[in-house]
Amino acid sequence: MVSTDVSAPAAATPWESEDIQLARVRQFVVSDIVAAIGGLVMLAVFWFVWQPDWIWVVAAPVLFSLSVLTYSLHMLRQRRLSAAVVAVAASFWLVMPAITFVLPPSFGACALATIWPVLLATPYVDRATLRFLAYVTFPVSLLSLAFSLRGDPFGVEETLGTTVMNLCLVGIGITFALLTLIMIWAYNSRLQDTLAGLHESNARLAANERQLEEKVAARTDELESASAYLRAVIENLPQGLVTLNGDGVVLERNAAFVDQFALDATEISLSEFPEPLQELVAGLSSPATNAAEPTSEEPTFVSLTRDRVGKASGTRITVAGGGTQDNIGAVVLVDDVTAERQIDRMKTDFISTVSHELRTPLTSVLGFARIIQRRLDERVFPNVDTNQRGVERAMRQVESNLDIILDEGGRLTNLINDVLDISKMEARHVEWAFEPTSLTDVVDQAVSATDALFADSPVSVVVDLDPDLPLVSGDRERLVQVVINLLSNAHKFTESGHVAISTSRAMASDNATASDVVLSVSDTGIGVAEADLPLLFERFRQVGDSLTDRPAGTGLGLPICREIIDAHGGTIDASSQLGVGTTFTVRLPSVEAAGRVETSHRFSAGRNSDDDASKLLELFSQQPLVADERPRAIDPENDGRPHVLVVDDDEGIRRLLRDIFQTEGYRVSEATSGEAAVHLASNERPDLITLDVLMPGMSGIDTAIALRTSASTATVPLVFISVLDRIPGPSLGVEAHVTKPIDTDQLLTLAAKLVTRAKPSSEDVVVVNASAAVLTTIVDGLERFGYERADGAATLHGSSASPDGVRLVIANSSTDAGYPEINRWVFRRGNDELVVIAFETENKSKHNRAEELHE
Amino acid sequence: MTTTARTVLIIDDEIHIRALLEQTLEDLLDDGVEIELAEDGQAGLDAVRELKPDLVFLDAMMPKMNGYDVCQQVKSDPATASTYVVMLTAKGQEIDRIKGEEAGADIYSTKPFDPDEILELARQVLGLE
Repeated sequence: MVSTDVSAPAAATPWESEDIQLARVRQFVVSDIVAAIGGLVMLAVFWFVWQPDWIWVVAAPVLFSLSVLTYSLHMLRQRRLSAAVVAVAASFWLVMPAITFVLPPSFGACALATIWPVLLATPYVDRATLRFLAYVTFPVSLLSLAFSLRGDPFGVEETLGTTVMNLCLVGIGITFALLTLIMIWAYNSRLQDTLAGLHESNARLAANERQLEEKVAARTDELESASAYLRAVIENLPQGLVTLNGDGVVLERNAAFVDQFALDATEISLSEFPEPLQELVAGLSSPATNAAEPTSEEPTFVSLTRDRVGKASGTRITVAGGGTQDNIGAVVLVDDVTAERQIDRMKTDFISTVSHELRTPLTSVLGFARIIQRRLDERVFPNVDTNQRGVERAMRQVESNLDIILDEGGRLTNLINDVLDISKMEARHVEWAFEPTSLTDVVDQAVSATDALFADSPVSVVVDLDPDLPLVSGDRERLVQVVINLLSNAHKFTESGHVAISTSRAMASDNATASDVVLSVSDTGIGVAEADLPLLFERFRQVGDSLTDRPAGTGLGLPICREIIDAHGGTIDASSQLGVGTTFTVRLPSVEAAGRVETSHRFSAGRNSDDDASKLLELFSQQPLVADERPRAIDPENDGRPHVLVVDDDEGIRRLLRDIFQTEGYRVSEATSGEAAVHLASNERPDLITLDVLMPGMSGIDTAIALRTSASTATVPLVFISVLDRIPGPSLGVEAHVTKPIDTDQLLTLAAKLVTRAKPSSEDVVVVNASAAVLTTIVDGLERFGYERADGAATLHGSSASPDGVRLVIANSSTDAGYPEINRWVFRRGNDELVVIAFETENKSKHNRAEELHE
Repeated sequence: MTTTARTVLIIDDEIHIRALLEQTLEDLLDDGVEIELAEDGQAGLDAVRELKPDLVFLDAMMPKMNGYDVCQQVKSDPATASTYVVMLTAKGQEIDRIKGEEAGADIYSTKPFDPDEILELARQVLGLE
C-alpha cells in the first residue's frame, strides 16, 4: 500500500542497479544483527554476574528486534526493499526506548540511533515510506526523551557500579559509532559507485558523440560530393534552372538561367523574372491539395535575351504528409526552344511552298484536262465520223483516260490539302474555334454531307443519337470533318450491309468520366487485322494488301482525325474483326456547365399525364415544322396560291422564272441577292425557294446554309438553279437541283411536288401507342395549333392506316410496338425526312431513340 | 448593260496558268469580250491602269510585285476601284485568305480551280448569262 505512489521514483537510478541497493541494505541489516547479538551476550554476562531485575526489559526487545531483523533479511531475499528498511527501523524503535528506559544516560546515542533507519532509507525507499518512517521516528525519539528524564529507576548504577555503568555506556556508544561508520561507509561506496557510473556514462556518451560526429562527417562528405555532382549537373545544364521554396522565394539558379534572362548574377529575386515566369511560379506556389492534382504546370513560353524563345516548365516538389501532398517548393526549367521553333517554322514554310509548287502544275494539268474534255464533248466528238473502224473505241478510251486524269488529279489535290492540314496541326498552327457544340448537329451535318456517297451504294447509314447528350467544347467544322472522314472511311471499306453512327454518354471507367460523350462509327466491312489496328492512325498507312485492294484516299484521313480529337482533349480508338467490321470510337469531354442540348425532345408521361402532355405541346410549338406552318394557314395575304421566291442576280433569269411560275398560278416574289433572299424568306415564308448558285456577295450555297439554319425557314424546300452540274445539294439540305438551260416541265413538276409536301394536312401527325388520356391531350393541343382531326381513330394500331404524307409522328417509346411501323414508313418514303417525337410513360434511359430517322 | 467592249485581264507569272485561264475564257470572245495577259505584278498593275478591265484574275505569288499589293493598289485608286478582282492562290491557308480580303479582293479562289466555275464566274461578273 505504501508503494502505490507511482510518481515517487523507486530509488533505482541508472547507474545503481537494484541488486547493489539490496546488498547495501543487507550489509546494514547484518551489522545490526551482529550488534544485537553482541548486546544479548553483554546482557547474558550481566545476568550471570548481577542478576538484575531490569535485564528482561532490555533483553526481550533485543530478542524481538533480532527476529525482526531476520524478517528484514527475508524481505531482502524477496527483493522487497521498502519492507526490509521498515523492518530495520522497527527493530531500532523497539530496542532504543527500552535501553533509554533502563539507562537514561544513553539517551543521546539512542535518540540518534532511532534516526538511522530514516537516514538509511533515504536513498532506497519511495517518498511515502520515508514519510512514514519519519512520522514514527519522531514519537519514538520523544518517548526515549521522556524515559531519559527519570534519574536511575532501576538503580543500574548501584548494581553495576559507576565504572561498569560507564563502560556499558561507552560500549553502547562504540556500537552506534560503528554502525554510523558502516552507514557512512555504505554512503561513501554508494557515492563512489555513482561517480564511477557517471564517469562510465560520460565516457559512453562521449564515445557515442564521437561516433555520431564521424557519421555526420561521413554523411557530410557524401552529401558534399553528391551536391557537388548535382551542382555540376545543374550548372552545366543547357537549360536554365531555378529552384524555389514553398513560399515562392528563389533559392538557387544556374548559370544558364542567369544568362538566359541577363540577370544580375549576385542578386536573387523573383521580381526581376519576366512576367510569364512569375505567373508560372505563382501557379506553382499554390499548394497541390491532393495527389491527383498534377504536380506540373502547363509549360509557358518566355522571351529570352538575344531574341531567343524559351519554354518554361515548372514542377512542384512535394512530400507526402498525413494523406496530403505538402508543397515544399518548386523547380522551373527553361528550355531554349529557339532552334526547334525555327525548324518548325522552316518545316511549315517548306510544306506551304511545296504545296504551292505542286498546286500550280496541278492546276494546269487538271484545268487543261477539263478544257480538253469539254472541247472534245462539245466540238470534236459530235463531228467525228464514228463509222470509221476503231474510232468509237478510241473516243471511249480518250474519255475514260481523261476521267482518270481528272480523278487522280483530284486525289492529288486532296492529298496536298491533307498534308498541309496535318502539318499545320502538328505544328500547332491551327486556330481552333472552340465553342459549346452539339454532337447531334455535327453528326447531322456530316451525314448530310456524305449522303451522295451512300446514295449510289448498297450500303445504308443507320443513325442512332442520344437526345440527352451534353454539349462538347469543340470546333464544329473540324468535328464535322472527323465524322465525314470516319463515314467515308467506313463507306470505302464496306461493300454491303450498313454503316452505323451513334452517340451516347460514356460509361464511367478508368480513363473516362460519365460526363464524356462517345461517338462511334461502325461498319460491316472487311475489317482490320488485330495487328494492324495500331497502324491505322499512322500517316500514309492504309492497312491491308494495297496491291490487290487499293483503296482510294490519301492515307491521311485517320491521322487528321486523331490530331483533331487530340486537340479537343478527347481520344479516338478503333476495334475490329476481320470480315465482320470495324468500329471507331471517339470520346470527347462534355461541357458540363453548358447544359443540355437544345434538341432534347425527351420527356416522360408519368402519373400526371396532362402535365406531361402539355410539355409535349410546348415542345411542339418550338418545332418549326408545326409552329411555322400554322401562321401560313391563317395568313390573310395568302390567297391559297403557292408562293415561290426566286433568287437570282440576273434579271433575265428572274423574268424567265417569274413567267414560268406565274403561268402555273404561283405567287412569285423575287430577290436579287442572297442577303435579300434570307430577309424576304423569313418575312414571307414562301412555299418554295429557287436559288442561283453563283451570285456576287453571298453565294447560293451560303444562302442555302443561312436559310437552313434559321428556324423560320429551315423547312422551306430549296431548289438550286445553276449551270453547274455538281453542287453539294444534299449536304446543304437542298431538295433538288435544276441545271440551266431550264427544262420548264421538269421544274414545274418538281415545284408542285415540293410545295404539296410542305403543306400541312390532316394526315400530317400520327400518334402511336399513346394511352387514351395522353392521346386526348395531344389531339386537343394539336387542334389548338390549327390541325384538324381526321375521321376515325387517330391512333395507329397495326398497318391498316396509310402513312403517306405523314411528316410528324408522336410515338410512345415505352413499348417497342410503334417502331417497326415507323421504320417501315421511312423505308417506304425513301429519302424523305420523317420527324418522330418519342415520349415515355416511365423514365427509361435505355430507350434513347432518335428524334429524326433518316433512311 | 453597256455595249462597250468588256475586258478581262489575267495576271499570272506562270505561262501555263495564263494559257489555261485564257483558254477557259475563250468562249467569252464570241460575246465581244477581250482577254489581256500580264506576266508579273508590276506589268499587271500597269495594264489595269491602262486598260481599265472589268474583271481581273490575279495570282497571289508573283515576282516584282505580289498579288496582294497589286490588288491593294487597284482597289485604292478610284479610277480602278470598281474592277472585279479574283484572287488566285495555291495556298488556301487562312492567313492568305485574310490577306486577300484585306487587300480588297472580291473573290478568293484556291488552285487548282475548276475551269467551269471560272467561266461561270466570269459570265456572271460581266453580265453575260
